[in-house]
Amino acid sequence: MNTRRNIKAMLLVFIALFLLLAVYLVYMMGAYGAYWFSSPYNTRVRDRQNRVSAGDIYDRNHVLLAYTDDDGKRSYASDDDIRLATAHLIGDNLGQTLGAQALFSKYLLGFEQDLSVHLSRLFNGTEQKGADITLTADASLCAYAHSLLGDKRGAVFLMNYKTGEVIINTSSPEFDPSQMEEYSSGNLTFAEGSMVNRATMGRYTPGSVFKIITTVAALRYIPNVENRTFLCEGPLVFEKESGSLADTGIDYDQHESPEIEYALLSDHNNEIHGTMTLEDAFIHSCNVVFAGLALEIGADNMKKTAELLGFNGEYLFEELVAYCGTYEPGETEFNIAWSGVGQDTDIVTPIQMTLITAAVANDGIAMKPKLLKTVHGTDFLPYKSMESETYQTLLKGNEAEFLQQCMLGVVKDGTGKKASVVGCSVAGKTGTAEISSSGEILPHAWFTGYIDSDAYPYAITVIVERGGGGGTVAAPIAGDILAACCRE
Amino acid sequence: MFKLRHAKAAGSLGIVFLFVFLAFSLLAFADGVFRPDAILFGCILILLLLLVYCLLLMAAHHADKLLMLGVFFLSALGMVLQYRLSPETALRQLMMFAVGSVVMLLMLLLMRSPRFFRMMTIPMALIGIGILVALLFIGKESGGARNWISIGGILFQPSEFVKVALVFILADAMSDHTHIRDLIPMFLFVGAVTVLLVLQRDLGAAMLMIGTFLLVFFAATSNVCATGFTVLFGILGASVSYRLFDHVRARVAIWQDPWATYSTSGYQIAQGLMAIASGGLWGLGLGQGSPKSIPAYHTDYVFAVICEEFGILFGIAVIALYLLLVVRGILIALNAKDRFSMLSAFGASALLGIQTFVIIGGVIKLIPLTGITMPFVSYGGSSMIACMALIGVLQGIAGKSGAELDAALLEIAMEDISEEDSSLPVKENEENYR
Repeated sequence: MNTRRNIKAMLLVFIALFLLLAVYLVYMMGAYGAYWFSSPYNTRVRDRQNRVSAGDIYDRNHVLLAYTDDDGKRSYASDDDIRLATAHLIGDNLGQTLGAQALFSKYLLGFEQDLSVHLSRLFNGTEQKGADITLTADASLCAYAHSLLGDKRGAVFLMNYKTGEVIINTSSPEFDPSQMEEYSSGNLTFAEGSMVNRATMGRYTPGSVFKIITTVAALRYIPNVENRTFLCEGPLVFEKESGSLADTGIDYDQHESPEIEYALLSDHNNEIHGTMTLEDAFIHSCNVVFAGLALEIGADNMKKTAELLGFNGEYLFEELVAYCGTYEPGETEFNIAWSGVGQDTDIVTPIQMTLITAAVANDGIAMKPKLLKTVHGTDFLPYKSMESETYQTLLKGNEAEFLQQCMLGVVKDGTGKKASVVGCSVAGKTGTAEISSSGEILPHAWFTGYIDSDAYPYAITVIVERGGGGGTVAAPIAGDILAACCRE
Repeated sequence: MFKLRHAKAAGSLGIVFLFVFLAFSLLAFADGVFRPDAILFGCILILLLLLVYCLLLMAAHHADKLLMLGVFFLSALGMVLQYRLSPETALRQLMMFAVGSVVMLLMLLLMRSPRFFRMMTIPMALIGIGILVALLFIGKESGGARNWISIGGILFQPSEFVKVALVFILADAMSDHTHIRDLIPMFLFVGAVTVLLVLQRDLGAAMLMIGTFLLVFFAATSNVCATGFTVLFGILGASVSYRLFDHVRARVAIWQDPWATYSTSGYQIAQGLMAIASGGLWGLGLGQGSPKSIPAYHTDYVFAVICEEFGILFGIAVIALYLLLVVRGILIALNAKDRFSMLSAFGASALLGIQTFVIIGGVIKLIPLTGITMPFVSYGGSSMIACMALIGVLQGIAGKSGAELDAALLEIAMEDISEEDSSLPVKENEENYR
């Protein structure tokens, strides 16, 4: 019984509790503050828009993308191609889309300014113009990428894998940010789904680009898998009712109506690849081998690997709002096998694929996507420059190196030949994501890849919805964009 | 040494005055219109603080100056915010602060003879329970809780005064007895108060009472078993009320995801979080934010307003200032000369500490939100007076033990002069603390 000692202990408890308050406050505001602030519910932003003239937004080459004109109206790039290609990146001023305009409104509307500006405002009492910002994106490349998508729906996302700078983020269909009043008054109507930034928020079936993830899982859970030989001798056969792999030796063609009893997992055009290594299987995108690997790895280990690569999680990037994919394979062997080749219920976003490819290119380390280059006054002298930050180490040991070899092979002699660029060493993976079982609807065409170069360290993902084959539709687009990047 | 300490305190008092002066000057020149009223208000506040400070030192030479300065700064901050939000409420808050200061000095003088409070505990307990029972029938509802009472047109929140009574009742019961059997009446009182508060849906106050009780009980008895049992019982009670009451379930759901129910019940928390996020590190500046979009902005949610207009760094400074109050209060408890004073001082500090933690934690979404005031800063007369009364208790005890220490030192000095023997007479008092 020692009251003094107890009271001293309680003193420590109080000190710990109050420290917890301070630490939690800083943590929450660090992690979520930017989102809460730019929430469309935050009436402060709307109020401020009426009082403050919002700052200008420039791209990395000082091309003006958004500004407040003399009448106080928010205006956008006069070049139609640039304005439409960057619509999602910049966002609208009504807070309908979470673009740079909403996320960086604390700078643009002067909520967070240089201390000296802050002080002078306190003393003058007058409201001024908010700060100007320069983005890392390149508007002319965005416009070029957007033109390559043509009238197809889809998205292109390109980032520097050494610094995390986002260079291209374009999405189609688009809306016109300068016509927001017309849209809300009903004179113009939005194209369906045009408000979604498909590059960061589009949730798609990945198809074969998911084989990158399956490869990582194989390297992690199957010892010496890179030196094994695999045999592809036609489709895998599953019993339809139970969903489990059928006994080997069943002569499928002998059955009268096999499609009632059995389900198949086959390759593109029912190709038979024969004997090959894991690398060959990756280069030729052999479904049979990767489905077999997924079954061998098992659903739990597949899921664990996918989650370490960002699936089923939450992206909390300060500078752009992004969704990540989901990986929840079904119960049966049939589902698990398909999930290993990016079908079943697999979902991925273009930005997530880019981050994984970027990690491959950058020896396993993914940099945090970064959209804001500097915050500055009209003289372009920065108040604040954003530093590159490491996001996560996604790949360990030799995983990145092995995948680099595989992805270089895809563009050199595999499915992604059309992404090659003269004078550059390009690596990548194609994907053709089936979205209807009947084959009536064209599949989504995917390409994710990077340039293996210190001078042009770019990672890219292209998705063309219902575009057709990844190698024939998405890969050439990626090749053209990467070639344009190298010319810059 | 002694003079230096005085000078330091005066310097810190100067900083409080400077803050008040600058803040009210800013308010006077806001919107490009000069308002002399704000300057006048600031001057009155400075004079009042100076007067209270002088009276305190006259009444108790050894009063804890740092504790008082912390209270001054927080109260001044409260009045700056109230003035910015609505000058009329600031004026009422200023009057309440004046009344609170008188109550504080009164408590300080009464604490010179703790016997008075020890005699008063039974009547206090009975009156406290009586008021809380009466509230069930004649109480006025506000903010989902039926915890207001109107006497002659003036609204009171009786639970605030029960808080002060609780500190004395706990200290009195546990300064003589530490065996569970002898503490049964006190248990009954705490249990009854908690149940009554829960029935009035004043969950914040109930949590505060139980928390204070637990800390004082543990400190006084070192009874880990019984403390653990009470905590377990509390958790059980909480989970039962979670199952039984919709409003408790709703609170927890809002806490987990205020954005899901933004348009209805999550509105307040979401607005508070957006306000804090809008302020950023340095704040939007006094008068530059729009705190009025947060419900209860001037009472429970005043911390969000502080963060919006003064910034997160200032918010952390405010948290640190509250910690200073708690630390000084606990040091007073550790230096107290008798057990009743020690437990009263500890109870008062613990109560202020828990109250601060519960409300700031609720506003920043660390714990589910329960509506209680932020001591000294929130608008509210009952809260201000009750908190000042607790400070009076602490200052009385600090003054008394300081004076006794002086006397003891003087005695040693005298003995030193007469015979060169300097054995410390303080030692024999040791038994009293245990």
